[in-house]
Amino acid sequence: MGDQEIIELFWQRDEDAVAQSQRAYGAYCFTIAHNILMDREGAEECVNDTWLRAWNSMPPQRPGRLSAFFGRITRNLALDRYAAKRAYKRGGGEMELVLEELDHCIAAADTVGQAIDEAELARCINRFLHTLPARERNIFLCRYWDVSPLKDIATKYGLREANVKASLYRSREKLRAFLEKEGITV
Amino acid sequence: MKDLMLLKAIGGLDDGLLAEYERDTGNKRRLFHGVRWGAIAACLCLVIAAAFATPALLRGPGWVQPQPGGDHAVSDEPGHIAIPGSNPATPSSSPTAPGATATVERAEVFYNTAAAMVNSAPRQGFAIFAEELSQAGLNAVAPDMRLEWMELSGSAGFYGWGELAAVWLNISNAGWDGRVTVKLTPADKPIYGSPMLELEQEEPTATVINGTECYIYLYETETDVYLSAEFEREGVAYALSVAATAADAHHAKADLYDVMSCYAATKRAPELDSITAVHSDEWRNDPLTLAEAREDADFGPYLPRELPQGFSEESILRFRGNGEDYLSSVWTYGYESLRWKASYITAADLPRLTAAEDTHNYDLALYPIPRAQSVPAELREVVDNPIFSIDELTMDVISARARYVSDDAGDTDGYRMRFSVRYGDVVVEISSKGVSPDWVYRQLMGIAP
Repeated sequence: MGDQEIIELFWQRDEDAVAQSQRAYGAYCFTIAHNILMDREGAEECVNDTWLRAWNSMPPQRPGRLSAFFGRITRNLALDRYAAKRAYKRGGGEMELVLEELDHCIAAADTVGQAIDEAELARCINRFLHTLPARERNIFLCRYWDVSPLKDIATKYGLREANVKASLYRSREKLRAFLEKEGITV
Repeated sequence: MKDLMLLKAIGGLDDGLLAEYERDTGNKRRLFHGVRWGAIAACLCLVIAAAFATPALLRGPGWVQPQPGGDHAVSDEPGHIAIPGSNPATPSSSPTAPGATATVERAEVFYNTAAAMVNSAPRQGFAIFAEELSQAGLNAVAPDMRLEWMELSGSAGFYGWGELAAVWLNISNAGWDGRVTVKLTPADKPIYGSPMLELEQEEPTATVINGTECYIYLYETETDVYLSAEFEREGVAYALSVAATAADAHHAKADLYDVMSCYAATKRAPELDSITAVHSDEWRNDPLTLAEAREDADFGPYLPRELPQGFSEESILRFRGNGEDYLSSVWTYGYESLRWKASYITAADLPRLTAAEDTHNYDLALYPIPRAQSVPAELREVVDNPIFSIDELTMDVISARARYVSDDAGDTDGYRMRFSVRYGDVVVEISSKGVSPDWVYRQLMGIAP
């Protein structure tokens, strides 16, 4: 079943929309969530919550691409869940490494009034991503959108792990400079 | 928490970048199976030796036994299938190109079985609009070698800017009411609609048909079977699928194999470049800022002049396509939301028009929950979302549509409303949670197109 047909099911308030979404994107969303949480039960809950969010969003939304639409919802749910877990437990894994890498990219706000909100930061990051060459950008997204391990990225792109690390380091330095130039802190 | 905030913000990349990323990594994405699969997905080798001896069984009751020497002659030689060529001018279920046949050696078929049915990783986004294939379009993408049972129909999907994203060809078999769906995309821009399992432990085993490497996947339950297959040939990526009850599994397998054989035998590559959109210049699917939305010539004047206190923009979309034309906005504040959609009135809206005096069409106080039981069937559509004329809109009308929820577990207290207002040929639809009826009324009365 195509994206348009699934969206139409949501608009018709046909409960088969959820079953079809699960069929078409269940594994995709599960993969996104599991990459972040490394926890099957948590990932499955994120996927289920994704369908609920989608049900509440369509109508009126009519996404152009369900993969992007669902993927974003699942990713945000997983990150929120991760944040909640992290408050009292450090689980290690790829997420800790990814967060540690990003920690140096953005300065903390000196005052509450200077801090940027999430929506503006997202728009800024989007502008930054457009400045990167395509391959470098996709490697960056592999690491920070998909939370892929370095060795997996190296395999995907036929590179050595050291090359991937170097590419990511360059991208993060560019991001840090971009955010500083924009005067962005959190 | 700034690291997590930054990681979250990376999720805000626009659809175009995400589509490009998914194109780049789609073939390479490692789909996680380890915990999800109850059993290890393993390859099952299935030799259809029986097919040589019982071709009628393989093809099912819809298959017509070819007559020797005629257009549909099938070689009696074991190990080969003769496929008649079709007349491109009449690609119906009766190919009529006399004398033109191809022979395809029967392959040893390997079904890669799955413990659960999942889809592959990201689909190429699009499905902005679809158009039914014309006869010329069917001719362009169907194999020029076909069998008696094949009845063709199909559609093409296009991005909003008119570029072809995929073609779907439906090949139906009236004999058992089955259908093989073939999705064709340019091989350098694949769309993953059928399973493309990346097994944890093993690589899938290919079935080679006429020199073309194909991967066939099989998922069976007690009652149903689902088959899919993928291969590439001459710059085109094919993804086939067919579903059937367990009783018709052999028909599904036979038809899938037949379609793959026809494409493997065909000499003419599908002409995807010839499939063009008829209505591409009419399509829009543009996210807008509030400022841009207010400038929209069609629906800008129908936006609220101000937002409810504390609400911020979640999405604003200008869409035109598939017979729809609207500007849809969503603002949120925590769990509260306001959805405001302006569109041109269509024939589908007419049953929901109501006069203010016809309270049975919209007054929720008349219909206790559950409304699926209390609302008469013939009124469900209008009671769900009535359309009032702006000339008749009053606070009493809006109050009749507003219900205050104060004990909905897990949700915020506040008014819930859903209804629409007509301004000439434009309908404004409101769906809100946590917004006061007063505020809604003021905004609707303030619209001056």
